[in-house]
Amino acid sequence: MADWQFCALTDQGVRRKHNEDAVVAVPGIALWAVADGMGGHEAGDVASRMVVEALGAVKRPDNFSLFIDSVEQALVAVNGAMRDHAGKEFSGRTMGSTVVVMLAGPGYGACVWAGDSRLYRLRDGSLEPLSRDHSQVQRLVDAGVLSEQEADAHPNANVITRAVGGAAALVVDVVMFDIQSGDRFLLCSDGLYNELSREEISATLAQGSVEQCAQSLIDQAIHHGARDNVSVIVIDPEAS
Amino acid sequence: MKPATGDINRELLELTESFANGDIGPAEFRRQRRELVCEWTGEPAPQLDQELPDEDDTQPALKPITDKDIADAKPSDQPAGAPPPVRQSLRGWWITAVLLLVAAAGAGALLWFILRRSV
Repeated sequence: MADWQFCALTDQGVRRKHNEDAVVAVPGIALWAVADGMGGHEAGDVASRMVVEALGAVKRPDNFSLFIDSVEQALVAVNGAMRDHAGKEFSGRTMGSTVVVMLAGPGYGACVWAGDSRLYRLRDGSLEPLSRDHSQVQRLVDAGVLSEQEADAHPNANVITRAVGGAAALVVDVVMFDIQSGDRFLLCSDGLYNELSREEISATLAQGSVEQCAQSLIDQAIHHGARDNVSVIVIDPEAS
Repeated sequence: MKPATGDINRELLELTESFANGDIGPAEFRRQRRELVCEWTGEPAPQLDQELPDEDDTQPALKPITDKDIADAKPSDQPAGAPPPVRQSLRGWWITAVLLLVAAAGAGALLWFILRRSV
C-alpha cells in the first residue's frame, strides 16, 4: 500500500460571487473528490457540500469492488436527498452537482464520476484524462463529429448530461486504472480546464511538490481570468 | 489472466450503459460490475449474504432484512385488523371535549357582552 501526498485547493475565482465547488480528501481510505455545484443562489453551494459530506462518511470495505459500490450508494442516496431538498428549500429549482471521485488500492485505482469534473493522470510527461465528460460535446466527440480541440471551444461545452441531483435515478460511470510509481493525479472542476490548456496543465503538474502544483494551477487559472470557481486536488502515490 | 485496462473499462462502460437503458436491473448490474472489477484487481469476488432486490434502487443503502432479523422480531399481541389501542381513541375524546369547552366559553362571553350592553 502506498502513502499518499496530496493537496486539495478550491477558489471562487474572479467573476463568481460564491464558491459552488467543494473538495474532499479522505487519505485514510484513499478517497478524493471534487464536486461542482449548480443552481445558483446558494443551491449550488449546498449541492456540492451535500456530495462531499456524503463521500466523507463512506466506510471502506476490504474488497475494492464493494468500495466502489459504497461510493455509488452514497451518491445515489445524496441524489435523492438533494432532489427532496430542492423541492422543499429552493421551490423545486434545479439543484445539482457534478462529482469526480478517485479511489485507490494497491497498484490500481478507480474513477467514479457524473458530469464534467475530471480526473487526469500524468505519466512520463503525458497527461491522460481518465474520466470522460458527461456532456453534449463529448457525445459529439465520441461520434467523431468534433475533435477534442473543437469541443473545448464549443458554445455548448458547459452543457452536461449527467449530475448528482439531475434526475430521479442517478447512474455513475466507473473506470479502472493502474497506478505506478512516479504517476501524478489531478482531480479538477471545469473552472480549471476551461482556463488552462492541456499543455499548461501538463507542464505545471510535471514539476514541484503537490502543494506547489495545486497552488500554481489555481494561480494560473486566476491569472487567465477565472470566470468560474476553480478546484484542484493533486495526488502523488509514494511507495512506502 | 488479468484483462487489459482498456478492455475492462470498455466492458464497465457498456455495462453501465445497459443499466442506464434499463436492460438490466441494479442488483444484476452491481453483481456483474463486482465480478469485472475483482477479475481485474485479482481479488476474490465478494460473497454477499443477500443481493439487494431490483426494485430498491432508490434506497440502495438500506440494510436488507435477513432471516435472523425476522427470528429476533417479537410477535405482537395485537391481532391483525384489530381496532386501534384505547389510548388513541381517548385522545380523540379529549380533543372533542376541549373543543366543546372552548365553544361554550365563547358563547358565554358573547351572551355576557350582549346582556351587559342591553342593561
